[in-house]
Amino acid sequence: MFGLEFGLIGAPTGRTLAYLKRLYSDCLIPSWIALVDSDFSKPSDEIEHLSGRNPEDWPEESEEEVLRKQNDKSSVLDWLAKRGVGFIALKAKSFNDPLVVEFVSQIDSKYIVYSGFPGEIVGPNFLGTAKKFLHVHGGYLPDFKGNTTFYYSLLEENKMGASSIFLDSGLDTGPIVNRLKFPPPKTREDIDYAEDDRIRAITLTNALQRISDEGDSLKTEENSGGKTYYVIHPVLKHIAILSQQTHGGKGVHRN
Amino acid sequence: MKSYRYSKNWRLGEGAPYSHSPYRGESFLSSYLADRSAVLDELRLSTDEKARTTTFQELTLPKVLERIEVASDVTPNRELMALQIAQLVTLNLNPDCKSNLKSTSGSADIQELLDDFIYEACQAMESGEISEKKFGQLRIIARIFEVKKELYSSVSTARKIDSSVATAKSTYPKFATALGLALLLKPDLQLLSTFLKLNDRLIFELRSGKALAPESLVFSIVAEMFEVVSLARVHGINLVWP
Repeated sequence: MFGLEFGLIGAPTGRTLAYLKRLYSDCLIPSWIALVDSDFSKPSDEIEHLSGRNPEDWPEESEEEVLRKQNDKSSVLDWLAKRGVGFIALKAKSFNDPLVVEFVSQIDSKYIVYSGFPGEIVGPNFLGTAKKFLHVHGGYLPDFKGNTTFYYSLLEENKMGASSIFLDSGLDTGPIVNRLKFPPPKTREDIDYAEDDRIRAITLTNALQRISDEGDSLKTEENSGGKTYYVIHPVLKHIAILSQQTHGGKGVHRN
Repeated sequence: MKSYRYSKNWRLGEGAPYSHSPYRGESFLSSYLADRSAVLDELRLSTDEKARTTTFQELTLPKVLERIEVASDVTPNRELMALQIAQLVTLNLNPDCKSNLKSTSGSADIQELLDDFIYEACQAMESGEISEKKFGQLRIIARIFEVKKELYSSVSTARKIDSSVATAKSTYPKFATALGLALLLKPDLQLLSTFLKLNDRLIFELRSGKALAPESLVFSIVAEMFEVVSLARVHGINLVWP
């Protein structure tokens, strides 16, 4: 039985949409939803869906396309509108904006699901609101900290992982609520768009269920040590995507 | 086949062009190898006069070659690998240097740390072993390069990045050599990723006519390509060594 009261604060991104879909699908309904964005009046342009087209035909400057697709604001707002789900619009560019900090400090929820802007680091004012911000990192902690760890773990052990943590001031260093490992997806080209969000959403609902079940007796796991990874080079990313490995095991050793 | 562009548009100070990199299919890896091969062809024409015999060449180079040949069924171009000596001569390696992050007053000179690492790594080509402490120091330097997109002349003993000290582009060739040797001794995905970015940067500088030591790239590129081809093969991707 799920009896946890929690809210969700997020940027209007594909990840937030994936979280919302999973939460509603699993009947884990947040008490409130707040979206942070600098402009709610202008939904993003229609994003051209690249998957299904020959990668060689993709536009030359498509890092921007990738980012825009991940931040497809209109799809989150459309999803909420279609279901008649209300949300609180916080007009701000950053989660560190005083408006957002003030909102969070006033709200009466102990647990808040956090789904921020890609790459944004929340500051002491936001974290100082004495809430438990539940964040899902795309890597099995503490082994895989940092950026693009899905790809590194696919290369290292042909698995993907995700971990729910309570945010603290460090990078992926907060106490671990739960962590899961997943087999590699059948279609690896869509990791950035689909698999990343899907795995994090599953890990999130699993964590919320655990918090609900264990309440104040919840024991988090240590998150010290491990290795920090930086944005993977595209050559290695392509090897991770094109890998023919079908089973787990060390993927980097020679001999 | 589209060209490999990461060595053509290094956007210094604007953040790495590697975030949100799109998937471009299998031919991307071929375009990467073709790009690196083209650079090697250019370097072969410009550096052969600089190769000379030293004890370092006689002792270390055969060990490097042996490692590559034993670990793979490909034989790297010996002529190109022989040019490694040009790099090591150019770098003015100081084997007497014994830099230590903890032994100096507050900071350590990156040039000295790299000299020290290169020297020990060359020694380790015989035994195949190098201390984890040495790798740890190299990882700290790699972290600075990843976070700041630059290297500085010294690194804090507190392992904090001090941007107030001068940047030291002159250390890049040595850093590349250190990474190449480190990876020959011990595969490490994070260091390989950093190595690829550093070589992109060095090739960009070469093409811009601003290379510090063009001949120094030969070993770096060959070592990098070897690591990439080896990793791809472990994952069932048969890349053809050019």
